[in-house]
Amino acid sequence: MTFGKRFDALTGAGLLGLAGYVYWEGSSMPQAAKGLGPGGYPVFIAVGMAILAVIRIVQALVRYVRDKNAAPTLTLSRGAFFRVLWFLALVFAYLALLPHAGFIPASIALLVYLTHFYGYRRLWANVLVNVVFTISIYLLFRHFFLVLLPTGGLFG
Amino acid sequence: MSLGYFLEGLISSFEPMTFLIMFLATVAGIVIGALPGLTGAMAIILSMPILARITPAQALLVLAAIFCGGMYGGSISAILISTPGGPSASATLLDGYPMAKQGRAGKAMGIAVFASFIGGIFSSFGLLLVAPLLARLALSFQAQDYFSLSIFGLTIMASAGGGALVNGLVAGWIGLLLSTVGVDGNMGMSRFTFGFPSLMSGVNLLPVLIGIFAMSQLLENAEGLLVAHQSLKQDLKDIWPSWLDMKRISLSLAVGCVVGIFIGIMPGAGGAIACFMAYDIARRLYGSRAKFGSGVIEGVAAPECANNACTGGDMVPLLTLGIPGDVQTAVMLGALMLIGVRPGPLLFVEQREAVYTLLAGMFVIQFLILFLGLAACRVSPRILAVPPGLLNPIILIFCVVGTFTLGNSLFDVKMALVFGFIGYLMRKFGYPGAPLVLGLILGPIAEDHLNRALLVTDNDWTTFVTRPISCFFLILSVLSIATALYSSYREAKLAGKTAAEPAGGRG
Amino acid sequence: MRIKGIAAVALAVAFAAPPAFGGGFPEKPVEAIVPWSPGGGGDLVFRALAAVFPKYANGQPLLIKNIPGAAGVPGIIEFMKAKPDGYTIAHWNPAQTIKTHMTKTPYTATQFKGVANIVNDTFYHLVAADSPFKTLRDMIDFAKANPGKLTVGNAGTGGGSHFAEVLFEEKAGIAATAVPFQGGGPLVTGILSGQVMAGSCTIPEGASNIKAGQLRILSIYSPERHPFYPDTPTGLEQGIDMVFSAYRGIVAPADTPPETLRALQDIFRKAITDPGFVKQINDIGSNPTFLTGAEYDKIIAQDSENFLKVIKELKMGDIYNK
Repeated sequence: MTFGKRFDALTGAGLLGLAGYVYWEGSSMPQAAKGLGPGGYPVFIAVGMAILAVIRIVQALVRYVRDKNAAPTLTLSRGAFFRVLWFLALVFAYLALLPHAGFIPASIALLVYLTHFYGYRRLWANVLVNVVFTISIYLLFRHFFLVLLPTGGLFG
Repeated sequence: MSLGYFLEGLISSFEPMTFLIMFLATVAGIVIGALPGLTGAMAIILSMPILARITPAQALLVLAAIFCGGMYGGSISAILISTPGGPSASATLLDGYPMAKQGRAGKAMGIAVFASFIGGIFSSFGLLLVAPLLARLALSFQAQDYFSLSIFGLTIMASAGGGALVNGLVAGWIGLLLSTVGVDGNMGMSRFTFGFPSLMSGVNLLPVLIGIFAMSQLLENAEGLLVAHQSLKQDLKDIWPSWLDMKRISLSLAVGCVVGIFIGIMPGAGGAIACFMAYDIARRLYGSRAKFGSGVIEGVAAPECANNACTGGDMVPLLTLGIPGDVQTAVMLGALMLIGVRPGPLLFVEQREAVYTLLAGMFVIQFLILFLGLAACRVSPRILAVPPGLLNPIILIFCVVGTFTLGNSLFDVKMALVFGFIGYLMRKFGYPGAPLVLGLILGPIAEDHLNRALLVTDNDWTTFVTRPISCFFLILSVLSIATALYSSYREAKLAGKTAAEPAGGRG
Repeated sequence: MRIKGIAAVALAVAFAAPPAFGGGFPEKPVEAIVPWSPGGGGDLVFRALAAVFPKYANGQPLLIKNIPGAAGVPGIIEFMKAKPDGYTIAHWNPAQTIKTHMTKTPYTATQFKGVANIVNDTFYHLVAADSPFKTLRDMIDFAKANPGKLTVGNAGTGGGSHFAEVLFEEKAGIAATAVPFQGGGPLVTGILSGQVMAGSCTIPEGASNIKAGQLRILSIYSPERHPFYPDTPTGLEQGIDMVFSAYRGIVAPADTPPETLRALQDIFRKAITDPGFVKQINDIGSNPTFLTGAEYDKIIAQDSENFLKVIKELKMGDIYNK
């Protein structure tokens, strides 16, 4: 997929929307008798952001009009993007599972899978390194740093 | 500052036990500083049980060693894996990592060690010679002056991190926006917390830092199977800077030292701000002589020098006023109080022996860092030889664990992940991450001082120009923006004059 | 499956519980949740406590879990998940009580059971050495003659020192401008640099500066002359009917059985009166004051009422600011 200059304008529009929201929220906060009320700062930021957003939109449109054949802002293959999303999903799942499964099992599972995912195919070395690593980290943190990494229902 | 006391202090810092403790503490500082997610603050906490068992002089040395070592250590991971080991190494990766990608990691690290050493020596002198004077200077700053100073810091946002001016500003502004999340300082209202109690104290710096720099890199690496580029052959012979190198970076070093110690003595400002400021000021001063951002040694020297120069500065308000400049010095303060060393104006009198041992020891620590750093230079680039498939997930777990340890909270880690994704998108679309971090740091500082200035002067906005110091910084800010605009205008013109963009291609 | 095997063994080793000492509470480490980052606020006090705790607790350690964040809210939320078996306790102080009225917190200040009070830090008014205010009266007269012009710093909006100031102004019948700083350190700098005319501080903020002659105490709000500063008049002596200190103590989950509470209380009574502990706390500048759980409960409840009144009046925070 490619994102051309028109996409920049879209980002600009998005920022403008964000600025609007912040401005609205900020001005609905109570005013202080003296000094900056809670709303003052957000309003200021919203104004600045709106200006930047407008500049961005204008810049993007101008570039688009001027040179239709300009190199796109971003070219990303479908596959690559999905790999990124999949990675994100995995890590989120890992974080959600941590309190239930415990640090050691969850991390080992994640590590082994990801190492494979990143292209390292020697399975035995993979598993060995990751197991040793995870357990060492856990022990190090527990006894030396005195930080209890999450332990799940299975091992807690 | 009497020479006699200093020499006494120097001698006591070489006592075998003291020296050994100092050595170990420096190693610990460097190692923990290098690991992303683990901060010097944590190292200090770990050392607390040990601190209780040694003399106050030794305890002071331990704290200083961890602090200084940590400042240097962050550069190791910044250069090798584009992840700052701590906030104060955020600017080092801007030129350090490109150098690593070109196979010049050894040289980058050598420059980092050297610059850190110079910065550290400079700040040790500063601490020794002018501590009480510096403290008085810090006291003459009031809220208005701090505000203008932070405005000046914010103007650096635009150009920090390279990339188009507008992109940098947008990133910085998003950082500012993020800094408003949390409870406001004036009336205690929660802003933009959406009902998440963990957000009430604001968006934490560490998760954002880890996310924007580390996780986003990991995500980018996830795009394709990783092969060659990270197992690049690194040149490990050419580490120590040559005379020519030293001449080239002398301007960077000068900027780093001055900015570092200045920012350091300001209570409330620390290494993170110093490194960016030094980077940007050096960039402007060098102009076209050095292409900052492409992997030039000048770009590594400035921030590394600044963050170590900051250490001595940071200790000035800590020791003389008992006021910490950042999280690390705040923890140091706690540690000091726990062992009975009470910072304040009487410290130099009541605990003279301990303080002088510290002042002298600071110099010794810098040499230790030099020595250990060079050793690290030879050893640590080998980490790049580890297959990236194995290394990346391990880095991920380090980030997770480190972020978790900060506040015992998985929420922080999730936030880091979210920012990882945001950072990834930003990378892809050409928005630099550094300004966002800067905005996040400076935002609350600016607001806090602005608020107070207005409260004290009864909403009098002219006070910012009537106070000389404040006025000075505002003028600097305007100049800073003007020069940034001018140079970006000239760059655009230059690009227009050279061959037009290649026709064809999709899009 | 080999993985699970190795992991199981490793974990078994890691979790090997120490043998109980002839029965009796506690039989494993006690965890204390401190809603501050290490080195800040109550953390130091709890660490000092942790140093003497094993002596009176069957050798079991007191593990400190720092959960920093806005006036303790994330920390207490975590605390609420704890089992009421006496093995998890939490730090409590006025700032946390205040917070329950400033925002919608999923807990109230009085829902937990007090175990003991540890230290008692009295509030006092500080001025720079060269300030024109020589006595408290001077400051009050100035404020009465120039309403709103007197600037008094505090260590943070919604914190104990802020409320101390509000209470003071009520009793003295004046209106001044409260100037928030980000903590005690910046507050003291602010007074020294002349940014504010006076500061509402908590002992021992500014102690070393007082000793060095850079700051002066106008009055201390303790019932009698404070042991650290026997030459300084109290608020009462100068005509202000105000006695206010920050009580820092320990709370346990509400359903903790009374015998466990008593056992904990006993341990802490001995710990807080331990000479080593007292010395360390005095070094920090604080004043160890043991109070029983019941007495501490009363203080928290009283504080809660007082704070609620002030918050409603001044329309602070998220709940009452309309």
